[in-house]
This record gives sequence, structure tokens and C-alpha cells, in this order.
Amino acid sequence: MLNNIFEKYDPTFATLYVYNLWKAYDGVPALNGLSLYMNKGEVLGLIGPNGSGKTTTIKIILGLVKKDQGTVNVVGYDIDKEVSKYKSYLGYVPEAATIPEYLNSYEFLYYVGRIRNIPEDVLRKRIDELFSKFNLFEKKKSLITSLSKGMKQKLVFSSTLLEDPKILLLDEPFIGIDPEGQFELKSIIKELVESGCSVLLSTHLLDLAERFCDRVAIISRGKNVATGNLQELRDLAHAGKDTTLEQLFLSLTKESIVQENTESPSKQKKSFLSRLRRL
Amino acid sequence: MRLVASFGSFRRSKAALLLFLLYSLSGLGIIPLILSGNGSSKDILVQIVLQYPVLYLLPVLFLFYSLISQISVIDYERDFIFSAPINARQFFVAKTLYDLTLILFILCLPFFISFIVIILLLKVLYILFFMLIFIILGISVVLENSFKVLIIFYNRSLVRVLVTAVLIAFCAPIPFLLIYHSVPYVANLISPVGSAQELLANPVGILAVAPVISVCFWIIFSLFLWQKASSLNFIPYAQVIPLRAAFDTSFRYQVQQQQNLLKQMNRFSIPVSLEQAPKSTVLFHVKESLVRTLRFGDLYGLLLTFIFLNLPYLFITSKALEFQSIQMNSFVILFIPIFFPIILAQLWITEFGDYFWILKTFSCKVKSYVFSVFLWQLLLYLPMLAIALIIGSLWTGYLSIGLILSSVLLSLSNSALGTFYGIWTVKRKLFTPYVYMMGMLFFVLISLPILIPSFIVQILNLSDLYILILTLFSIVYAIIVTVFFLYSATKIFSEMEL
Repeated sequence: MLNNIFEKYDPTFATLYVYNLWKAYDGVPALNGLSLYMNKGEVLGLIGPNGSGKTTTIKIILGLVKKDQGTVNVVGYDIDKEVSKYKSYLGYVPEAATIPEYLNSYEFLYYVGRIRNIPEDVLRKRIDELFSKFNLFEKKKSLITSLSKGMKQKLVFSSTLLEDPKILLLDEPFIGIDPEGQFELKSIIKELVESGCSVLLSTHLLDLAERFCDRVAIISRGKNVATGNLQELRDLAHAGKDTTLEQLFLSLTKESIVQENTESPSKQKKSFLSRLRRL
Repeated sequence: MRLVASFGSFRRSKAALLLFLLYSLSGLGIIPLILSGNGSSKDILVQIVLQYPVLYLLPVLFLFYSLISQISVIDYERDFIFSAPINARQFFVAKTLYDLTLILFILCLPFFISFIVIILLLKVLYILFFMLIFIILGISVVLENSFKVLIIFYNRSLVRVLVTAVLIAFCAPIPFLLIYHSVPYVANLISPVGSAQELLANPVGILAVAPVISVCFWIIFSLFLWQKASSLNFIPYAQVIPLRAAFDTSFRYQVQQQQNLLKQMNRFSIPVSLEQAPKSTVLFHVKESLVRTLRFGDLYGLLLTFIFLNLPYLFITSKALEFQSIQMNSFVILFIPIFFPIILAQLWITEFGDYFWILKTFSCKVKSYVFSVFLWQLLLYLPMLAIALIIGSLWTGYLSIGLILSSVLLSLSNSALGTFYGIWTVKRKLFTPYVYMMGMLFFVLISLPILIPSFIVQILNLSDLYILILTLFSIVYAIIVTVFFLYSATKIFSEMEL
């Protein structure tokens, strides 16, 4: 890591704490000791190249994927001990979410609400509120298959808000959404953040991350390379005040790869072993 | 190019090639049957065709399909072929050739291979037999394609009336097949299938003239309509559909396929809504599964399969051929609990597999969900099983308690296996036809410890003690299998990573 990401960590204020997370798929490492934390009422951007471990991190937090090693605390709950209880505090928008095309909009929200064991009267009232908030009333009885991409995404968003989540996990939520749709969703996210919700936003859109996120965690090869707000990242990279996040990202990830290549003892060992095999 | 796209996936899997080879050679099984006959219209194969409406099935399906669907193209055809300087007629010729190749040389490949052997053996009647089958299928395909284009440009209702009239004409002899022993001449002449049957019954002489004229009329009529349709520019009106490639292991078009199916079948779905659902979690999930089944039209597919399974009952006792009614009865009744669960499991995988993340993310109660899938299967086919048992016992005049017990036990164990199979397949992401075929085999193997005692009891004259032992064994086995697979399904679900 290029900086101590826990430098400003305050456990009383953090809603999400991830420490030393490791995960490999069939021996191929996806996460190599990733750590990060997120405070209450902040938007933390998770940015990194393809295959850097962003989606794996989010899935581990959600319990969709089992970690090999590490600690994850969500709103004070250790996810290993409280296997499902903490999920009621989470909202999740997956990348390119597939939702049941054979249900209509109302049925889908009702379905999600029933799975979450939300009481019936509360659920129905909440669904009406969400339809109003997201301007989906006209599409209440329409099959999901007939909705546009933007409307489907709004519907997925609505499903995350059925239970007033404390943390929203958003994996590329704006891909394929038109500017008006993006503006609507961003406004809603801002409202939620102001009311105390924390948002972990995984995205490739660096200009969006720059404008929208309070802090950014740069992930590369399964590690948190650097975390901080824009100014902190500039200081870390010894960059000028006009340096964009894109430039910082490219510079810091390159630096971390170089650092990894020179410092990694396992790589040195490997090269010695590989030399030995050649004899 | 469409043939390559549709069947190129064969190259990816040796198992697929092997399966196709087996399928192709399976038609040779009828050669001994042909050789055992004397090459006359009294031969068993000819009698089956003459007296059972097997030949009507595919033509009727094609014509019915032309009523409910449109001329279709694949997305890359729209993007790359239609944007090139080709005219509609060229594409229409290619599409018709593709459909004919698909039906005559791929779907009917076993028969085609048998046909070649028959030509070599110089069995004249059977050469005529196969040629007539191919001609009828060819006429159906050409008519289907033509109607799909004509409906765009001419009065929709008028074309639909024409298609319905053609359908009725095709099926004119069927009521007589059901009621009488011999088939009336006039009804046969109206239908190309009936004319083919007449030709097979009387291939030479004066009686053959009228059926030949009738078949020729239908060929000319279908070619006339085809020629008319090929002169119309249907390109702007073609519906884009996903490619349905055989043995394709990627599900890149799954969402599009689902959307297409929903649009087509939703018109026919019974208006059941999930907005009012039972309080019980299990029943809620069962209702959701039922809503999905209805909206995708799966129930219609199951009902059609059920109807075709039971159709033989309508002909058995009125025909010259002596089928063993009770054995046929057993086959039909036991087919349902053995094969319907895997059909339903496969439908579940295709229609719900992608949405598993919702259940996992929102902490769905695992046991409740797994049990609901089990119940959903039972709820769909147990009524059909009951009806089949009633029809069978009425037709044969014989009610077998053993058969009822076996079918119930099979229903329980195979529904549990179906639940397990569905969840396991989604977890392992093994979406290949090979897995499906192996799955079917596994279902049959799991059913054997219930089937074998049942057959032993039916065939042998055992004492009550042995019957009791075998019955208890079947019951205990079914309970163990049911509990085991439901428990395993729950375990896999809980541990599944997405």
C-alpha cells in the first residue's frame, strides 16, 4: 500500500470495516490483503482496473462469496458471526442486474420485500412511496420485460430502499443509463447520504468518482493501493492541484505495480525456484 | 451461414457429437421392422401411419405457429445482411432452404438415413412412404414461411382465416380416425396428409389417381403462395429474435429469449398476480413459481405433452393392432413422474437461474425456498398424473393400487431430485445439453428401485408377504431419497457462491 489507509480511521464512526481480505479462485488470487473502511454518511468510490477485485470485495461483504481470510464488519456486525442479520442494513445494486422479467414492477418490489420479511402493511406503503419517488407509477403494472434499461435500474434501486439501508453497495450503477436517469439516481443517492446512509460506489467512470465521491479507494491486483479524498491522493502522488483523478489513478496504480515487483519476496523466491528447475 | 451459426456449437463438445451420431443412427432401428414385413400396406409401420395421426403432428404445429408468430431474423442478419444490397427474395429463398434443411435433413436425419438404406434395399412402398413424409413436411414449412410474410401485407384477419382453413383441411381425416376403423375417401382427399395415407393404402391402380392429384394440388398451392410471399419486401417488418443454436453452451441470448417468450405467451397466460400472496413463505414462493410458469407458457407445454401422451388411449381399443393396454397405461402413468420433474427442473434453471442473486442477497429462508420448489413441481404435475390414472383405469377397466403407489413415490423422490438437480446445475454453471441428457439418465436410474419392485409385483404371482416387503422397500427408499436430495439442495444453496 502506498499510504496507511487506516490513518484517519475512527471505529465509532465507521459503518464498514474491511481488513486484510484474501480471496483466490482456483488458486488465482483475486484479493491480496485488501483493507478499507467507510464512514457514516460518506460516499466511498472503489476504483480500479478490470479484475482488480472490486466486485469480489462487494460480494464478500454481501455474503455472496466466501472469503479465504480477513475481517469484515458491517454496522458493527462481524459477517462471520452474524451470517444474515447484517444484510438488513445493506442495499445492493449489482452490475448489469438481472431481475425477473416475468414479474411486473409492483410484484418485483413486493417479492423482494417478502424475502426480506418486511411486514405486509409496511411493505405496501413503502412500495407506493418508492414508486412516487422514482416516478414509476405509470409502470406499476407493466412487466419488467417491457421496461427500458433506465427504468429497470430505477426499479433495482427502489428494491434496495425498501428497508432504509445503512449502507448502499453500488456496482457500476450508471452504466447504460441516460444522463437524465443518471441525474435522478445521483440526486436520490445524495439525499440518502444526507440522511446518514453510506455508499460504496464501484465505478470505472473516474470523472464521476471525482465529482461524486467524498473519498476514493484505488484498488489494483486485489490490494488497496491508496485511499483518500482528491487532495490527499494528490499529496500522496506529489502531484499538482490540477491533477485529475484519472491521472492520479494511472500514476498510483503504476507505482504500486513497480513497488510490488521490486518488494515481493514471493516473486523473488519464485524466480529462484524457477531457475533451480531449469538446471 | 445460419446453419453454421445454429450448429457450429457441435464442435465444442465431443459429447454433443456423440449424441448427434447416436440420434442419426437411431432411425436404423426401424429397418428390421421394415424387413420383417412383406412390403405391403398391411405391414405394421404402414398400419401405424394409416391408423394413427402421427403424420399430422408436425404440419399442424408449423401451421399453428404461423398463426402466432412473425417472419423472424437473427440480430446479426439484420445488422449485416439487411444493410447489404440484397433483396428480400434472396433472403426468403435462403430462409426457406434453411428451414427445409433443418426439418428434413437434421430433425428427420434418422429417417433420412433409413430412407437411403430403404432405397438400396429397393422396398418400393417404403420409398413412397418416406417420400410422402418429406413432401408433407416440405409443404408445411413452405406454407408456414409464406403465411408469415403474407400476413404482413394483406388483411390480417383474412390471412388468418386462410391459415385456419388450411389447418382444418390438413386435419380433416382426424375425426374419422378417432371414430371409424376405415378412413373415408373424401376427407382424405381434402388433406395432403390424408392423401398420403390413401396412397400408402392403395399405391397402384385407379384409386391412386385422386390422392396423387390432391398431393400435387397442395404442392402447387404452397409454391404459389411462396412465390407471392417472396416478391414482397418484408425486411422492414421482420422480427428480430435471438439465435437458438443447438448445443450452444453460452447463455448470452437468454434474456432476449425470455423476453421473446414472455411477449408471445403472456397473451395466453391466466391472470394470476403475485401482488396478493399467502402469508406463508413457502406458499409465497410456490405462488411466485406458478406465476412464472404461467407467464412463460410452460404450463401449456406440459399440458400439450400430457395430451399427446394420452392420445393413444383414444385409438387403442378401436384398432386392429393389439397393444397391451395395461402396459401402455403403465408407461404413460410412469412417464409423468419420471420425466416431468426434470423438464420442470430445466425450466427452473433457464427461467430463474439468473435471479438467484436476489435470494442470496436478501437472505431468503433457504429451507422454505427449497421446499417451495419441491412443492411447485408436485403441484404442477400431480393433477395430470391423477387424470392419467383415471383415464387409464376407465379405458383398461383395471385399477392398480401398486401403480398408484409407485407413481406417488416416484413423484416425491423425483421432485426432490429435480430440486437438487436445478440448484446443483446453477451452482456448477453446467448449462450444457450433455448435463441435461445425463440428468435424464440419472432420473431413470434413481427411479429403478421403485419401478422394478412394481413390475415384479405386476408380472409375477407373488405371495402377500413378498408384496408387502417389496412395497415397504419402495416406500422407505422413496422417503430416504426425498429427504436426502432436499437436504442436499438446502446445503448447496446455503454454500453457493455467486
